[in-house]
Amino acid sequence: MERRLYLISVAIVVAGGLFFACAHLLTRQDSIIFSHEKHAKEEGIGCEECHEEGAQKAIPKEEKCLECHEKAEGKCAQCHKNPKNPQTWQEARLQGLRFSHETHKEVECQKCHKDVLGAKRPSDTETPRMLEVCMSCHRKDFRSIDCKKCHEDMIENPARPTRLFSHDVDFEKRHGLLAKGDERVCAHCHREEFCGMCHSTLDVLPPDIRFGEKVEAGLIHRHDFITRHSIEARQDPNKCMECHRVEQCSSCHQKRKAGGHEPDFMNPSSPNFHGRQARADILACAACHDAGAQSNCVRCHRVGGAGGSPHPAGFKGDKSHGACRACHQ
Amino acid sequence: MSRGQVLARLKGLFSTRKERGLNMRMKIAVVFFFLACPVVSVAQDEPVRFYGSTTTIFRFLEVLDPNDPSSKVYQIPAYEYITLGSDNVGVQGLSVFLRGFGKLEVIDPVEGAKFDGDVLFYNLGYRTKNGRFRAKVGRQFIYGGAGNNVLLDGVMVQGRPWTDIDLSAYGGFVTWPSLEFRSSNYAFGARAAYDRWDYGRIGVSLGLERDGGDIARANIGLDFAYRQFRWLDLSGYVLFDTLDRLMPVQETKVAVAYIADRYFRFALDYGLFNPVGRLPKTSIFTVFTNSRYHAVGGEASVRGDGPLSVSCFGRYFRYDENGENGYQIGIKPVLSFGYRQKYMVGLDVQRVRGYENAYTLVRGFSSLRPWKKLELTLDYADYLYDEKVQGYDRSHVAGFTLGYQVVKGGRIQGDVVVTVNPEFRQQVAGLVKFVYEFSTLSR
Repeated sequence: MERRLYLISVAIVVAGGLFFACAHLLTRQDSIIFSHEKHAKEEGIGCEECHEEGAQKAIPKEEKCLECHEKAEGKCAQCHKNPKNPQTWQEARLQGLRFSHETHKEVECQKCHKDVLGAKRPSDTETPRMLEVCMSCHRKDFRSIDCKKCHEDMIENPARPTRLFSHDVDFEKRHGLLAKGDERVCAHCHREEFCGMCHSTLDVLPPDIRFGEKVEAGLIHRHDFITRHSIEARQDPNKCMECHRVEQCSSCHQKRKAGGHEPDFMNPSSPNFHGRQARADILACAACHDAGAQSNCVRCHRVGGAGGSPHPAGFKGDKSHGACRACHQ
Repeated sequence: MSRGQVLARLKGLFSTRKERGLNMRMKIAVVFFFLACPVVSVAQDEPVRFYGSTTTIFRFLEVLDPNDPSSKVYQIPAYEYITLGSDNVGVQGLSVFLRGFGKLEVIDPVEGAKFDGDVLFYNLGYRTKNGRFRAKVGRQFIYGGAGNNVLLDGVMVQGRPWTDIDLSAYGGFVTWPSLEFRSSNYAFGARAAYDRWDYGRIGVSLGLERDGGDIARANIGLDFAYRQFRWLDLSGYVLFDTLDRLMPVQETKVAVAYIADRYFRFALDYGLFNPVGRLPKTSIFTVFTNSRYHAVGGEASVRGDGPLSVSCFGRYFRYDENGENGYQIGIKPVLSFGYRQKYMVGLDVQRVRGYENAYTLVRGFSSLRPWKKLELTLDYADYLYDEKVQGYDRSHVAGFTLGYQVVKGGRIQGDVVVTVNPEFRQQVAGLVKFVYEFSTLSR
């Protein structure tokens, strides 16, 4: 049963992926063949001759091309990569940006569209590197985090400054470090809800269940985490404690009577001896036993107890430490 | 009402968690207040934004009864998440936010039918028109500065009196479930920073938490960042434990990322951690020897103009106490095709070695959007353990998701997940999810 389930699952994933990849490759998409190098550099055609001055949507219509090029049968492949399935050029969307070519008409086209004269494909000039280009004039606004000068609404229409805060494949591992001290920057695009999706310690449903559709995301608790949580918790315990309190471990361990002691737990010569285990991973002890003096080591490790005094020879304490009050009222 | 009665009532209100929580009337009042706020909005320069979401999840679980491992039982917990918020409500710059959930278990032969729920966030914020000053009251995350994240029912203020100077302070009660709180468990802190955020920053912060009349945590932290526009990003923090006379480093982490171009980035990080430092000082376990450990890691990602992108990472752990080692290493190639990653197929291979056991993960995943409104995902993960966990050396999970956008912002999704694990706690789980999100502007 187990082996069959395994084989079926692998087959579904592999077959599904291959099917859609092949389907995509077989239905080749159309794109426009256009060289700025040939038109603007070699032929000397000015920018405004195709791109209407001040137009927000600067992609010329087909009629503009037909002013020079003949629309005749058999010549479609001159401009369309897949003439059997010709499509309109996709407009580059400036979603949520307060940008107008009209107000920037004094600026030379090449200042933003740097390599346009040497571009052999439209995609080479599709979008200027916005942050880099805009910052050459708008750095002061950038420094004062006055984003609204250029961005209408970053939360609803994030412009994704992915280079500076590279939201790349490993971003999930580094985002906490970046957020320390830069939370105002995060808040320009993300509401608190966004953090709370994963970080709320009061939530009961793990993120990987709530977002099962996000298969590519590096969610920490992905898949059957309960089985391997002890391996990861012992490898990097601080990572757990970034979100979870120690009490959360005990709530489950005590309820399910899981994670009990080894039979040779009291044998000093055993590698499982509790003293050795405690020194290696005291948090594992605290997960269940940090509920007052009667629940922990002090039951035995006390003067007159089986474990003797917990204090080393010559110990001098003023009992002012919070932990002392666990035993010394 | 006499002074004594007033004091007694106040004492009751701020009583400890064990004694009592907020009563039902107060819970309703909090919810009603946040729902009523958008109604009182008045005309202003900026438009008012209302936003929210509702997520309803029905899960269907086939689990084993812990009291009778030979029998199968079924559970159908239902979850409802609701978010409501508004910006520029009433006054320009004023915002309200509320998020909560409810869980209902109708069929649970093991523990019986029960209802659970909580308010995850509720807060009222204000931001000045130029964005230089802001304040927030209510349940919120405090994550600025070197200190650890803390979820507080409290107040936070932040301001930039000068362009490059960032000052902030917070204070409030540490959050406990069900709107309950311990009046003696509170935290406060402050941070001052020189912050030229596109070049870097250096900040000093202080955080303190008290629990039951004793100081549970007290840290001084230093956070810093250095950026060379577009290609270098260095950031880190150092946290000192001020409750120890020698003020040792409780933990530190530094990461440097090199972003060569849009095709390649590389990051290195180092961390020194002391898990005991995260325990409250009131815990008896803090008297034990500090079992510090070091982590050194690197991550790289490569993506080209073509469909392939690859990321890989490696991290080495060294434990001071017993001289043991651990590591994790992984590679994740992903193939994406079509407009906006219409089809995506990926592989994730990882090897994780703790100081007791290790496992190897082999995972394949795929996301497919054959039509704009339809999304399918396939996911399979196989874990191979070096040493048997509860008698099993392997566990695996297979998942299938089908989602369809019914209306703009509204989505219905069905999941089936088959899990075979050593705990044998759960075999088959289904999930039906309805999501509806909205965001509107009105003047």
